[in-house]
Amino acid sequence: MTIGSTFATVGAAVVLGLPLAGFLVISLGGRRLPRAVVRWLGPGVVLAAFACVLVLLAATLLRPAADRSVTVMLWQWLQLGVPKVHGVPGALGFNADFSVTIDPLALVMAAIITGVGGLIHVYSVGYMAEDQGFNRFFAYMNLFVTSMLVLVLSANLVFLVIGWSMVAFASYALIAFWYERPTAVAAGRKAYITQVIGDLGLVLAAFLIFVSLRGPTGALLHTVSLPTIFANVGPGPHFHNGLGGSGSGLVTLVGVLLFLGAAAKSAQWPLHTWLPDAMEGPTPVSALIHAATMVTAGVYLVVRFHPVFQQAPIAAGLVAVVGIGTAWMAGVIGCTQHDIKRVIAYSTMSQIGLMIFAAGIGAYSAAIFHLFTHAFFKALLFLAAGNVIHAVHDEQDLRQLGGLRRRMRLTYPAFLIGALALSGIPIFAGWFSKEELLGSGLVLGPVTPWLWVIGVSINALTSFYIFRVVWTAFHGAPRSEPAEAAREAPKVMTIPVLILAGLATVAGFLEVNFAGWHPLNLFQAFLQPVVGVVRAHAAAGADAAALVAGTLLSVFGLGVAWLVYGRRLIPADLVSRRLPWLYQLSFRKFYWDETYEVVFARPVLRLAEGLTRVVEPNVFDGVVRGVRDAIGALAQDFRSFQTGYFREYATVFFAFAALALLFLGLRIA
Amino acid sequence: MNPHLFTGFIGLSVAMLSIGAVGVLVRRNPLVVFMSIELMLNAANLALVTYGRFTHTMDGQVFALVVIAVAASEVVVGLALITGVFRRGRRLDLDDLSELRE
Amino acid sequence: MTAIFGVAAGIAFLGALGVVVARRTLYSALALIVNMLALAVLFLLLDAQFLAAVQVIVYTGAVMVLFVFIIALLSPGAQERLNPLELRLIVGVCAALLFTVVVVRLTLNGITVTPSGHFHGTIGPFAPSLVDRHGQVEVLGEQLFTTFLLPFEVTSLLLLVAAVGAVHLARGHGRRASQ
Repeated sequence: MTIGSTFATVGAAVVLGLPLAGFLVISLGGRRLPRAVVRWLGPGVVLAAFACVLVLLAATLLRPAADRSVTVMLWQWLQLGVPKVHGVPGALGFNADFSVTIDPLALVMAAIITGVGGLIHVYSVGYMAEDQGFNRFFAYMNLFVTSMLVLVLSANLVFLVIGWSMVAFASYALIAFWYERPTAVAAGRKAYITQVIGDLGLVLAAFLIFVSLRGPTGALLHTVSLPTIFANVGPGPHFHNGLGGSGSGLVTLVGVLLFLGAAAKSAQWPLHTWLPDAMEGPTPVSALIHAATMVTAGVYLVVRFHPVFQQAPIAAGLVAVVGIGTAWMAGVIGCTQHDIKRVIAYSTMSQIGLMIFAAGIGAYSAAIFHLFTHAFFKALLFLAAGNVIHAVHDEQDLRQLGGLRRRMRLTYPAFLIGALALSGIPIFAGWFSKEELLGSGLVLGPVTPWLWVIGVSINALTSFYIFRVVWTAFHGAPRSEPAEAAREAPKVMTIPVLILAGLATVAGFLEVNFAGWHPLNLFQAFLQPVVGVVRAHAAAGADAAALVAGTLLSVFGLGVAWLVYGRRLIPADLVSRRLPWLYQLSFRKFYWDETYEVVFARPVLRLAEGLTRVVEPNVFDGVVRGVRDAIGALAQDFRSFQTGYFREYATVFFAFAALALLFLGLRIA
Repeated sequence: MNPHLFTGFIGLSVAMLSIGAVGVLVRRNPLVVFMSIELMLNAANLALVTYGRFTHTMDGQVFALVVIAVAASEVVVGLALITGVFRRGRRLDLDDLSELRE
Repeated sequence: MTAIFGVAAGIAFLGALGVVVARRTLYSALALIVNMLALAVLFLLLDAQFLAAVQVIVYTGAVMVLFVFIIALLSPGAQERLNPLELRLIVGVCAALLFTVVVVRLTLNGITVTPSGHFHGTIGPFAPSLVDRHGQVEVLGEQLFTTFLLPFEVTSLLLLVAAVGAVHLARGHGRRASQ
């Protein structure tokens, strides 16, 4: 069996159509739809889509490696102007069809979205069981999955942007899901505004590509088709090729604008502040959107647009530096937060930073592989944390937990596996992906070894803060009554968690080259047709040394956490007493919220106040009053014509008709 | 047929149309206004049939037939409206109907 | 034939004038009947026998009888005197004269008729001799039921709507009456 285009068309339509149908049925059904139906329908459509993705994946794997990318048109959407007049592209020629690309990268993303997403949907059935907005929740979740699939499958800039924005909207709706909580609404708004800043970057980049991409002959292409763009962006025979050649200002600008979009989605500095606040949403939302899928869209974007970034070394360098910087900053912040979900949120930001770093330095398959394993263990951590929060009745403060190890006998090992995978302890999934990622930092380029040093230091931070959570939340004695009375979650919630725990344990072996039958590792080989292999092979010794160093630092962080929070040999307030500025810097999240407040929010508010007081009453109201008075005065003058006798109107009409005819006659004669 | 009669037919048609238009404009009695409109429709019919005859098509006659049907419908509805409006004590004077002014 | 045209056209013109200038409504109606009968004669001259018959039966017969009925019902004796100095009258007459002159002039200018009685340009297949040979009603009917079927059916629907509308209006405020 091979993946014919009809097959791909039907497959893509089913994958996209199922969650969309779920969204439409649930949202149009509203409250009339019984919960029993939604309970099956909501997760069902996503899992069915996952099955379909697996079929497509199998079909793709059966093809030869060079032939695994299929782009099919689902429907023609816009066909404006004449694209080519005598070989010269028309100024307004613009065609946008809804095409989808089925290739290894899109399939990996789609598998994560529908697979992990499906498990989270199942989990939500239990988590949201008591909620008033059960149906609304699943409608939004299905919408989110649909949007995300549009984003990753689209072979067209226009639909990429549409999916990108739909994802932002679905995320907004889900963060602000509990709309009676003012904090949730504010968090949703913050997230959405940040997303719109990112959308602006992406849209501007799309415009730039559309108006300035040149084909092999040097003629403007005016295309929005991604395969065409990627085929032409690189160097070619004509000196006007692509976006102006390697390192040109134009391609750098496009890269920076693309990264602005990616940074907003992936919560990278300076657009990172929305992610911790987004934890106001229900925990399954945090797991699905703010760990497994949406925040990784930025990584996907950079990897998908790697032909652009390969032409723009400055933009790519910016991506790498911002990624590693954000990863480090988020790691430092994560050490001092008290909210269990916020700690995990900062760890997400940190891990995404590493992926962005890898995408920036050109280790694309390493970035996507870490994205892949991260989806499992981060969703696992969130869902396990959700079990905890559920069990202690919405208590999220670490200081109020404790001793849950004996009360939650399934959640505890699951969370522990997640923590081990996140820390990069050997044999767990995170170890494979993170070490590959950092190792490629070491071997690529002249600057990256320094970035690698920062990267491995993040290892220590990561394992420190996540094991701080493990020890404070699960070990010791309960520190509050709800923690005392905590009970294990129902099966519908523990089973997805256990499945994810299993995946987080074994997923790393996908990257192992068991028998050495292929020069590349398995996952790398699968992605190679899309992203190529840009990884230079370092000397085996350096690679191994890096591996050992990174692993040791992870274990070191774990050990420190154990000494501080497990055995209490080191007082926990050591840093806050000795280095209060460092503690405050971390605890206050590097003061970014405060900075934005002072730099952007307050001046704008003050400006708005001034406008309200001065401009609004005088300029706007003045204009409106003026127009009203002018029309009134004019109407007074014209009023005498309005006699109300229709025959007078008819007379005027007839007389002017005769005159018009006369005019016409004179013209002809 | 004498081709110059063509001008005669068209001239008569236009003259009838103009007379009807003047009638619509100057008469106050709604019934007379209505009859003037009928006059204008008849003028149009004459023009249609004339053109059809001189171009050797049947289209003009078919069209005229449709116009007659439309005129008949219009008369039926229009007269019903006029009786409806003026049955209740109004004078038969269009200038009494100047509510458009307000 | 020219003589017949002259007489019929003259009667039609006078009838048309009579509609507008007659003081009594009933006289207007009678003048319109005269005009329509003259028009029927003109239709005959134009080889439109069927239309001439319809003109007499539908217009002069049905429609004008309805008019006379209504006149008798509403204002049998109403009179109306025209003020010749009324602005509306002057403007209307001037516009009408202008209109007539311009249109007739344009007709003469733009359309030429050959001495053999044909237009320059596209000529349809229905020469009067052919129509006469096949029968006026037959040719017209065939056209109505083939080329012009849709307009024909729509017209019948229009007549139905008009009938229903007239019944509704004639019932007066039926809803109020029923309460």
